[in-house]
Amino acid sequence: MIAVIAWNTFREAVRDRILFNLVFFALLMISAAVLVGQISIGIEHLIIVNLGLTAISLFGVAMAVILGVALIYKEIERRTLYTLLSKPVRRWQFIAGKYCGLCLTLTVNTLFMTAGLILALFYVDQGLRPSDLQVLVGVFFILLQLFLLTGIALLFSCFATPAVATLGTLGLYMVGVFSEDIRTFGEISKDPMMQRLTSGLYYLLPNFGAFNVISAVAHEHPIPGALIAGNITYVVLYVAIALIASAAIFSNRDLK
Amino acid sequence: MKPHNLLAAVAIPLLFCGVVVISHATESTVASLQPGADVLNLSSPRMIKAMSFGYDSLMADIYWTRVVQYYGDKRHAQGQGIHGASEHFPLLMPLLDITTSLDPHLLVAYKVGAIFLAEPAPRGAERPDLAVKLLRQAIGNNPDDWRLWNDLGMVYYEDLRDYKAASDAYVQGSKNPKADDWMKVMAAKIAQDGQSTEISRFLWNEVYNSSKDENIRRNALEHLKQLEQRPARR
Repeated sequence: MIAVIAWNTFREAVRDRILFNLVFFALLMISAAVLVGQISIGIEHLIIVNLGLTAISLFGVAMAVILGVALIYKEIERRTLYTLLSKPVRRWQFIAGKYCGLCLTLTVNTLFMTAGLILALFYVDQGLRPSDLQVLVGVFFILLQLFLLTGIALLFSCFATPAVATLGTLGLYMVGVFSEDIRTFGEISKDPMMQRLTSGLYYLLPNFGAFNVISAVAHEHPIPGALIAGNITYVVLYVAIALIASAAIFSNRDLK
Repeated sequence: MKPHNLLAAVAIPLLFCGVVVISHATESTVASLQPGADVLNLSSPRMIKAMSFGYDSLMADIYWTRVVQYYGDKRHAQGQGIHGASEHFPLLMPLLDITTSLDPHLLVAYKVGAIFLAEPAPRGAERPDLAVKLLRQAIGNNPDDWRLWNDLGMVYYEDLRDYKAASDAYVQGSKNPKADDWMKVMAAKIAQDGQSTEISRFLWNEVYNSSKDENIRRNALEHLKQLEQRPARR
């Protein structure tokens, strides 16, 4: 049942024109990197990796937020949810299916953008280098980040309107990007209470900064396997928390 | 064709023509109101880093491109004899500082930035002291890159004529296990001979052969040509 809901969510999402626009603009941005490289010195390869991964990340975040925050709300608005829930579908299955469908959509779109990036690298370097494999690690980390963000967007979507959910998701994303700084502020402060508070926030808030390896990948620095394993586990755990909370909120919601 | 489609097909190109004419007419006024090229609206690397939302390396590339454009525009203005173009490059170091703070591993910014800073006027900022500062930062941030010691040694040798410091830089660089053997030879040769056309030729040849960038290679070639014209000192 989860797979059916996921597949339908994917089919519905790919019909959305905004998605194609975002992928188009991301590919345009990646192509622009070829031109930027030519007006600078010594960064032809670097700028394509940097701009390409940044475009994939930025447009991926936009897609995850735009699609994620409306996931449940749209179903209630269109009253399609009632038809679905009249069938033998548990509410948690609905949530899990929606989440998987959106992750599938994001994965397919990210693969399209990655293909554009690889083509740009191929064009500039007249071939691919073994170190370009590192770019795929960067893309994988972006995907993990998007899966985490989708979980958060879905959680907001269970109880808030799309506008409020967008603000909440983007707010958490921005705070999550700077979560390392929050802890540093606490360390600078001499107040032990403040140190405990900032340290608690650091562990509680989603740490999006840990997924940013764009610079390391661009400079062909190897990404440690421990970080890859750690980030996968982190996303699995955090998404599980978000989905369980979403299912609990959604199950308790009076839909009549 | 339906009348409203025909109207759109005629009106849109005509209105675009109007937009182009107006833009052309106002561009000189707009340019006169813009701040000059020597204005850096945001000068704090920390602030820019925070504003880049984690996309520091892309921001560094953009700032590096701005360094190149700034240097190129200044050189172009000098070539055209534009008023005020004779002054040096006041934004070069702040821009390089921002670039390398955003991406401490952007080697090209240190290497080419040091050339821009160290070259005598009007080709550069004639600030080899700042070039040394930049390269020492580069070495601190990238201790594995032994070629940075060569760049530092070159600034001491070619621009500051401080042969002891140059020799020391080559000695330090040669301690890196990956360093080429000629680093040791260069340290000894500079310590023994000081200024020599032979050493300069070797160093610029090394820059020419080790760089893949056309601009750096062109600069090295220009120096090699100048050395050919210089009478042999030793």
